[in-house]
Amino acid sequence: MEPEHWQTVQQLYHSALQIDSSRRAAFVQEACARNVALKEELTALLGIHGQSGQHVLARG
Amino acid sequence: MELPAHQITELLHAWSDGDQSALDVLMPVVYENLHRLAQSYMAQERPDHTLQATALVHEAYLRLLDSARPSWQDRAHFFAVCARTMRHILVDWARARQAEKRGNEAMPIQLEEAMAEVADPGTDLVAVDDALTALAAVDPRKSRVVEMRFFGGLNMKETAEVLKVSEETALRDWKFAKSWLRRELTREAAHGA
Repeated sequence: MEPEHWQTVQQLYHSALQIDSSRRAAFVQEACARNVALKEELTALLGIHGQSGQHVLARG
Repeated sequence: MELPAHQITELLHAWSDGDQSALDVLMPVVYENLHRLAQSYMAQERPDHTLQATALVHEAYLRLLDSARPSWQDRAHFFAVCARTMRHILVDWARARQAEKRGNEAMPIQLEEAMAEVADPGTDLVAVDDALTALAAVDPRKSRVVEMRFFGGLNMKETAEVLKVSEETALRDWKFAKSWLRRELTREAAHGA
């Protein structure tokens, strides 16, 4: 793993933990922009599940 | 080999000051003692028995170091040496058990509270060890934080002292490493079986 990538993941991870859990997924989404791999990694590390569930709620 | 407690304290100081050769002297002494303790514990195998790493480490501490009235810093360094040794002993034991295919018949190893935050009760120690080795390849310090917490029962203050970092840094390492290991072990379980 690239050291830079490792640093980025950690920074975003700790930043995300500062944010209220209800807004965490949105934060990750925004912070990762188009970097899908980074987004997936953070989502897994932060244990953010039910991304689709939120869509359902939003629609409901 | 036995060493008097005051000599162990001196070696711990030397190691703390950056002398790696002190660790080379300490490791075999700690290993022998912990190994012997673990063996005698396992020999009295009972169905309700569990092997608890930190209980053994604490017993080794009482035997080897307590009489020197060590400072909390010396104590922390001693537990850190024990943690590495304990990891080896437990993982070797888990591997041997796998080879024998005795599985559940053998005495289970009780996961430390710290480890239970990351791994399910049934988690294979060999998988934990592999994940820690993978973590060490990217970030050795985080791997050491986990090793000390899992296998030596060190608290955050002690962990920070041994690593010569602030408690805050050690805590951030610990948090991230836990999440990383949890993901790694989940992935392993999904691909493994």
